[in-house]
Amino acid sequence: MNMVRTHTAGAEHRAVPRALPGDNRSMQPRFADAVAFEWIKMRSIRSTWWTLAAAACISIGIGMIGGREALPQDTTAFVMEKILVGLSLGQMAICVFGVLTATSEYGTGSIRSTFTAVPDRLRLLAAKALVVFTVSLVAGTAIVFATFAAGTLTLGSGVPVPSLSEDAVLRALVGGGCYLALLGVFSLALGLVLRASAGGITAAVSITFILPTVFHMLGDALLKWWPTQAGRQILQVSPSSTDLAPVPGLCYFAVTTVVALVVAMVLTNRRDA
Amino acid sequence: MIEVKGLSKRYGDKIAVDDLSFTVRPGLVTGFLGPNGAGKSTTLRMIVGLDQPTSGTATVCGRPYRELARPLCTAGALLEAKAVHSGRTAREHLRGLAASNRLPKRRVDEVLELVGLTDPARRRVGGFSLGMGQRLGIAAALLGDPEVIILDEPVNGLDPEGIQWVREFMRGMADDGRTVLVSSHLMSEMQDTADHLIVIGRGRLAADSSMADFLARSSHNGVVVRTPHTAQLVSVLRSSGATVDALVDRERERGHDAVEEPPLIVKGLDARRIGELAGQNGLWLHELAPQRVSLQEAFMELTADAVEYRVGRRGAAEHNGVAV
Repeated sequence: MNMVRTHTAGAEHRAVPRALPGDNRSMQPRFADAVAFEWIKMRSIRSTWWTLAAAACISIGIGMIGGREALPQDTTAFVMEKILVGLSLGQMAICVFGVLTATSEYGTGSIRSTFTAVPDRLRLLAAKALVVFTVSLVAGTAIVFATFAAGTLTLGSGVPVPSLSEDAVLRALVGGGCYLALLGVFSLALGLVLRASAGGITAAVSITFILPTVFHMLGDALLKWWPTQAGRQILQVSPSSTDLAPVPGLCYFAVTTVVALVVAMVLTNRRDA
Repeated sequence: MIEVKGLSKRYGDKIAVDDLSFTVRPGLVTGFLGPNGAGKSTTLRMIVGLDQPTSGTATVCGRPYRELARPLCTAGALLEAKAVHSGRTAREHLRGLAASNRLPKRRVDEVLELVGLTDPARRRVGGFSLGMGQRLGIAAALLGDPEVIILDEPVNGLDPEGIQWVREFMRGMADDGRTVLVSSHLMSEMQDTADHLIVIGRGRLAADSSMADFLARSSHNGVVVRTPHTAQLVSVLRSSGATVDALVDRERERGHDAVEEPPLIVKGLDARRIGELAGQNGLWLHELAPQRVSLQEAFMELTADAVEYRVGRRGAAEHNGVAV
């Protein structure tokens, strides 16, 4: 381990250049700079990659088990459902990813460095949301297609094989990536509001997983309009009659996500950091 | 230049900062002093726009911090050690901050070099010592080559070498014409560093003066005198305009000579003049010692009534004069 070299002060401090090259007053930072800031922060912590890897492993692993359990008499829609069952567990890792993007900064106090660097908090949080959305979209789409590919490989003989040439299958997979991207942003909003990792993750997992199960027992009406449940309908190849239709369901989830994000941004902008 | 006008912060019923106004000028190291809980950190957080004031304003270079387009190029702040994600490397932390203010990447290596963190720059911050964490915080504050440097308790937990480094750093920055505001609850630390002092107690301004004035105004200034001719000397000195009090000193009280020759504290005349007066009147002096007041004592005196969590006032009481 290297020792820190001790610099004696004085001359060296005065050697700080007073004007940085290319520095002038017209060089206003743009939204893109805040995006770059958020992207550097996200890629440079391990939890980002661990949570995304966990989402992939869970979804693909359970998808392969689900594929093996598909039966020859199953419909294509039911086979798809068995393959994609892993996503309902894998999505929780995306929740953790979204929550941690906000709460890890509050937990370490680095949120104060962040807000002193970009005091326009609305711009900063919009950049954060964009980065979370993009990373979740790319990772989520990759995970959904990988789960599908791995799941179809494990199908037994005689089991109907869902094909990408079927519109409903392609819609479910592409839409599934969008659903995970929205879920990441939704979780980010929860993290911003709650500011603590434990509380944020508990809330996100409750909302996406535990509460829908409870609602399922209570009746379908509440479940139908539950944001994450509505969003998940995009994964259904043959839509159920009691839930919102796939595309309207995803749009409804998108709207609630935007509302949650706006609330979180306004709250964060008003609160002391 | 930092200007604070009528700044107040209230948390429910509790007033953390109460109608605070002061100006921090460039070219000086300004010490921001106060006991723990006096409202120093709250004030600093309001200056850099982290906390919203209940009333009043704080501006940095003439503008509220949150309106600065490239704040890192105007003001650099070290608010707490290791306000960094522990899993991130020092370099990545600074690269992110640099990107946010459109600063070139090479500036990151420059400030790392400046604070002596070039070698551990690629290590995770979680493994950094407190001193390295402080250096990283200072590197972050320097990224944009700002006019204003704000440091909250920068030497907390540092070893003597680190303290010396921070002290020289602040001196260098002020000599360079920058505005340096540094908070501390360690008065001894400021004595060697600050040119100007802003003292607060219970959120209120207690003093805003140069270090020299602050020390000179203290009632602890004076000359300790011992003489076998106490009564005569007291009358000679008082007729020359001095105030003379008996010095209560527990250590001396234990010796028996305290009864015969109580030490006096003389204010309003310097040691030379006291010696001359004694000589002219044929009075012997057994002790003639100018008191060097420490900032700690002056501070205790000033904030004695404002200290929120009073532990004890032994340090101040032992040297307090009482009337003869």
